[in-house]
Amino acid sequence: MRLRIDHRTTLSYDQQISEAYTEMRLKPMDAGGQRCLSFNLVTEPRGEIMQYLERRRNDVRHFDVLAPHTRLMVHSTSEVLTPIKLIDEEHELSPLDQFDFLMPSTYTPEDAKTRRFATTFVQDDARDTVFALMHAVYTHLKYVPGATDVRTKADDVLTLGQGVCQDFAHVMIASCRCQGIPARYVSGYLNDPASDGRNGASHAWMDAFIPGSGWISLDPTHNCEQTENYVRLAVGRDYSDVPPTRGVFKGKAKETLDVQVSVHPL
Amino acid sequence: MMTTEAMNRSSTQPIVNGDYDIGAFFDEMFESPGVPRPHYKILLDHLTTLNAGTFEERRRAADISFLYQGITFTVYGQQEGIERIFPFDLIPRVIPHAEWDILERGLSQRVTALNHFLHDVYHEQRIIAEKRIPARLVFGAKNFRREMIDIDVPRSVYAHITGTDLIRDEHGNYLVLEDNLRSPSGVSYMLENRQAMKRTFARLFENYGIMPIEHYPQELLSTLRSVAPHGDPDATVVLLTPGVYNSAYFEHSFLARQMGIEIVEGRDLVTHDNHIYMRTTRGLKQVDVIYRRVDDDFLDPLAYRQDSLIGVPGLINAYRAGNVTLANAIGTGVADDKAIYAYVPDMIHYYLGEEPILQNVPTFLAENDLDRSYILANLDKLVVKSVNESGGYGMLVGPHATTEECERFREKIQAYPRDFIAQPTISLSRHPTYLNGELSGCHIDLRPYVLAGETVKLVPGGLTRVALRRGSLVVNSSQGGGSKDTWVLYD
Repeated sequence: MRLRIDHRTTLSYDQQISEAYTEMRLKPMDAGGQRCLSFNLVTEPRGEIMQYLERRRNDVRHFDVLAPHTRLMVHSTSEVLTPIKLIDEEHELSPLDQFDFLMPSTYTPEDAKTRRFATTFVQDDARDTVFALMHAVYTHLKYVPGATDVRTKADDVLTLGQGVCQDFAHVMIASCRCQGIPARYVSGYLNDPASDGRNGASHAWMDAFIPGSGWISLDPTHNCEQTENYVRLAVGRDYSDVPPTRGVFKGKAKETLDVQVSVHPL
Repeated sequence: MMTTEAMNRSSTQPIVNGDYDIGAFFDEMFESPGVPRPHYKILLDHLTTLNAGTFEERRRAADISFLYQGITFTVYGQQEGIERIFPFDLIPRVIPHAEWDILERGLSQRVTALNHFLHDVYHEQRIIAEKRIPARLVFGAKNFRREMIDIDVPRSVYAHITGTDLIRDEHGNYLVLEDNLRSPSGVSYMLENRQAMKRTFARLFENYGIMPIEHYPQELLSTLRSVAPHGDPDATVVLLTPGVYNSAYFEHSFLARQMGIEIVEGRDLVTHDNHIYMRTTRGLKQVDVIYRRVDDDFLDPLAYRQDSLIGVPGLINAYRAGNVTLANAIGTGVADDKAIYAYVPDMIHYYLGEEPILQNVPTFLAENDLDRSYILANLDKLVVKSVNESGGYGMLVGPHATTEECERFREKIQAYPRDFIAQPTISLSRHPTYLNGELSGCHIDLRPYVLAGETVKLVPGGLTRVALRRGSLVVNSSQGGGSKDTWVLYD
């Protein structure tokens, strides 16, 4: 499917700040059968935008604004062609990916509760286990915006029993890893045909690695596999590896964040 | 009065007397009681002419000059901000040329292999793919930095300055105790000790052929310049310090002054469009090489700890773009992890196809089940070390530990086996050291400084550290150790 994304992030400050450095992972990936047809990034104040590719092919853009300012805006527009499901390109994990996607990470620590939760749903076959876990996370957690924040870890989400897409993904990743199934976090967008295109378009889900067949991509928030409505921006061990924007600045101002995302089929 | 009389009597007594006890150790000066090793003979003859009174006077003069120059260090884990003089012992350690020759070749070989290893783990990871070192040891190391993967650094050198700690066992064999590839400190003491000795024993320097070390700052500067981005020979080099409260601040300012470069704190630098600039009274000036004495975690709040106030935001991006060189590189700590240390001899075989010239201390990894059982059964005999700590912190010296201390380590080892290694207690060699009016045997080690840039080089000697607490095996300056001048002799 051909999708157009419009993503505007505005940071406002109650006093002047300076020397602001911002990093962004906003360009749709060219991987997994997905193609980024166009990408345009504009910032205010304007700065020279620099770029690098991370090892896992995440595209990172960054810029700095040294002069004092009270508002910083990042606006990206992209067009992307999505496949009907993830088309896996690697059938064997590198030793580092094998380690990273099995070991506990910042937001997916290893704990007894997750282990107990995950063990309940083990099947004979890794693929069946992953689907059983997805269903378990989907039914066990209640989707409640505001119940958690971006720093909530998987074990706390499980205790709380509620969260948002990021939390669903983290609990499922932690559960897969407990069962020896490599799992990674996916940051991206979701085109929801039922909505007007403005509702919760930023999204997060996960990939699980099935020995012998490769990565499959699952969304525990909706209890389904990745479809052509999903746009992938970046993959990592968990959220902390791939925040869409991250920044530091000089000043004691209070920051207010406003994000507007829309996804439309073309 | 009794005390005055006692003092007078002792001050006229020679400092070299029949009471010196070699003990069951390798003594650096004496091969048997009263018989000096050949390279110590001139020194011993001179010391024999000194009595405690004259020696004490010279010692006080040396101590005062240290205090005036501010050569002090801060002790962590004690009351904040305690400044002490780094205790200096006037009896020098002497190393014959042939012995140094082996050390120099052995250390160059070791640092070359370690730099190959760093390049490999941040590129192809051949050594892991070929299962010469367990993947989990490398990837699980606290200082393995994923963002360094595929970044090319000038001349493929990561550890530009390495301080490797050498000890000698009861037979006098040199062994590598650990490598320090992050920000090894202490080189300023090596240089200052030499100055103090030249002032105190001017005549001895005329009689002994002692190799100079005074050119170290210039060698360091040329090493740093040789790894500048794009091979720029006129590169601007600065030294980045955490600030005046850091325990090694004296050394930072000393080295910057000696090299004639600016000493800066994070707030003095600014990143713009992937280049690093220094704020000067005449505006921004581009910086090419940063000799940084700030840990990885605190270098850049954009990339690492956001709470760091001593870093430079955007520095890692400028580094990745190749516009600035960091010495040492980010992520060198993976190679001085104490569990990975155990594999350095294998690295020498693997990357250089050579036999290691210097041996490691036998090391047990708590991570391995067999090793762990052995460690837990022999806690009272072993030295247990935490893999990521340095400076003698987080360490258990079994034979000197209480039962409670042993039990605390037992629990920690069982809970976090990857974090601990153990080594047999080595009877460190001893060196005559002036304590309370006479010479006593005290344990020593040696930290030579290896510079790697266009070439690998060392100045002869290094910092000899001495355990001034009687019987203590810990020679770190932060643990009550002192130091001596180290004389490498000409052939």
